Amino acid sequence: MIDRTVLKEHLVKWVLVAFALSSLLFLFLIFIFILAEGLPLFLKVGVNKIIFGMKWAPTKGYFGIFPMIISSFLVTIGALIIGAPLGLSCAIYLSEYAGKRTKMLLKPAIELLAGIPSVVFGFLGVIYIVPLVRSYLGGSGFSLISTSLVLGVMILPTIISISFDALVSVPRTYREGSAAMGATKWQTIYKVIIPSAKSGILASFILGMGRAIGETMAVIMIAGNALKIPTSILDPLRTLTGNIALELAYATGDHRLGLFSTGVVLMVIIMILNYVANFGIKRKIAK
Amino acid sequence: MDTFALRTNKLNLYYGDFHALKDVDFQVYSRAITALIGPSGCGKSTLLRCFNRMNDLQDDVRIEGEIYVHDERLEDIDIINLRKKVGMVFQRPNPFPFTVYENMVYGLKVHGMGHRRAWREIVDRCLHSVGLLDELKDKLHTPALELSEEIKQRLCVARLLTVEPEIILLDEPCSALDPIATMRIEELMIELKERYTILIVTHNMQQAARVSDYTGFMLLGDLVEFGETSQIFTSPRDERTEGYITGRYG
Ligand SMILES: Nc1ncnc2c1ncn2[C@@H]1O[C@H](COP(=O)(O)OP(=O)(O)OP(=O)(O)O)[C@@H](O)[C@H]1O
Ligand SMILES: [Mg+2]
Repeated sequence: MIDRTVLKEHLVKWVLVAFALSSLLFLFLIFIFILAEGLPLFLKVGVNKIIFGMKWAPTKGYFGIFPMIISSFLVTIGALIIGAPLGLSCAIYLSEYAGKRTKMLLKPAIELLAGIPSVVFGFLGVIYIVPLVRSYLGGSGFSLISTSLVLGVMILPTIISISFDALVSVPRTYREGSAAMGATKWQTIYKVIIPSAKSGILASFILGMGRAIGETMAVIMIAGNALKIPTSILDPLRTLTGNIALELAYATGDHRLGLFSTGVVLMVIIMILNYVANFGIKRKIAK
Repeated sequence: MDTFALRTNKLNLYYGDFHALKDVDFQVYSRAITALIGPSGCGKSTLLRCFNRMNDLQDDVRIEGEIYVHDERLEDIDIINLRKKVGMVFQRPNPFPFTVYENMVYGLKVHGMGHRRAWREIVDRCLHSVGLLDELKDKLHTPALELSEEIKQRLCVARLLTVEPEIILLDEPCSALDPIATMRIEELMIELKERYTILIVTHNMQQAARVSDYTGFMLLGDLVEFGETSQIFTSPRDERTEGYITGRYG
C-alpha cells in the first residue's frame, strides 16, 4: 500500500521532469539543426563573403547578406526610437499616475495588443501607413519609416509590461524618502524611480529589439524587400527574417543552405540580445 | 510667543472609518528633543507623519483640527517648503540606490539650492555634523547601499541637513540597528538638538528616557499625557502612563 503511493509520487515526479526537460531538448535540437544546415555554407563560401558580402544572388553563387543585416538593425533601431519613448511613458503613467480603475482598463488592453497577429499589423500598415507615407513624404511608401512605425507599435506591449514591472518594484521607501525631502512627484519619478528601475527598463528595450528583429510577417508586407542598403528612411529594404520567409518556399540546394546561414546569423543576434537583457535583469535582482 | 516649533489643536485623523488620532493637543518645543511613546498601533507614526504631510501620500485619509508650524498654519505653507523645513528620517534607513555623493546632493538639486561648486562644501559640512566625514570622505562615490545600516541611517540624517531643515522627525530610527549603533545615533540626536528641533517616535522607553527632554505618551489614538521627560518617567499623572512605563502593557 505504502509502496504504491511512493511509487506513484516518483512516477509523477519523473514524468514532470521529462516534460520539463523536453522543452530544453527542443531548443537544443533546433539549435543543432540550424547550425548543421547553416554552417556548411559558411565553410564553403567563407564567413566574410556571407556576412560582409553585398550581393545576394544565391542561384549564381552570391550569398552576401550584409545589406539585410544592416536593414534588420535599421528597422530595429527605428522601432526602438518610436516604441521606447512611447512605451516608457505609458509604463510610467500606469505605475505612477493611473488610478486603480484606469489600470484595470489599460493592462488588459496592452495584453490584447500583444495578442494581435502580426499579419494584422502588416495589413493595417499596408492599408494606412504605406499610403500615408507615400503621399506625405514621397517614395513608394514601402519603406524603412513605415516598417519602423509598425514595429514600434508592435514592440509596445513588451516594453510597457517589462518597464512597468521594473517601475512598480521600486521600493516604497525610496518614494517616501524623496517625497519627504520635498521633491515633487515628477522629480521623484525622474530622479529616483527611473534611475532605480534603470536596468529593468533597459532590459525591456532590449527584449523589444529582440521582438522587432525577429518579426517577419508584418515586415515582409511593409518593407518593400529590396535587396540593398537603404540610403534614406523612404527606401525599401529587406530584413534577415524577410529573406528567409520570402525565398524558402522555392529554394533548393545551396540557395536553401544560404537561407539557413541567414538563420544562423539571426539566431546569434537574438541570443546576444537576450543575453544582454538577462544580464541587465539579473544585475538588478542582485542589488 | 514662539516656543513651540510644532503644535496641534484638537487634531483628529481618520483612515477611512478608523479613528486613528483623537482630539490630540500636542506641542513640540524648539531646540529640544520630544519623544512619542506608546504601544504598537497607538498612532505615534500617524501623528508624526501629520507634521510633514506624509499622510497625504495615502488616499482615504481625513484630517480635522489645526496644526501649526511655529505660528503658521500647516495648510498655509506650501508642501515643498514644508517638507524642506520639516525633514523626516524613517524606520528603515532608505538611502537611494546611488552613490553617497548623489544621495547627499539630492535635496540640493530638488530645491535648486546653492551653486554646484558650493555643493561639495555643503556635503562635507553635513557629513561632519553626523560624524561621517572621516568615514566617507574618500568614499563619496561608492554606492550608498553598500554601507552598514548605521552608516546608512546617519547618511539619511546628513542628507536631510543639506536642505537646512528646522525640525527633524524620526520614526523609530534605531529599530533596524544594533545596540552600539543605537547608542551612537542617540548621541547624534543630542548633538543635533543644539541647532534643530527633534521629534522622535520610539517604542523603546529607555531610549525616550535617555535622549528626550519632553515625552508624550499615546494610547489608542489619545495623547494620554505630555510633559517633561523626568516628570513622565518619575511621577506620571495618569495611571495608564504609569501602567505603560512600569511595563503593564507590552
Ligand atoms: N494607511 C492606513 N490605513 C488604515 N489604517 C492605518 C493606516 N496606517 C495606520 N493605520 C492604523 O492606524 C493605527 C495607528 O497606526 P500607526 O502606524 O500610527 O501606529 P504606531 O503607533 O506608529 O505603531 P507602531 O509602533 O507599530 O509603529 C493602527 O491601528 C494602524 O493599524
Ligand atoms: Mg510606527
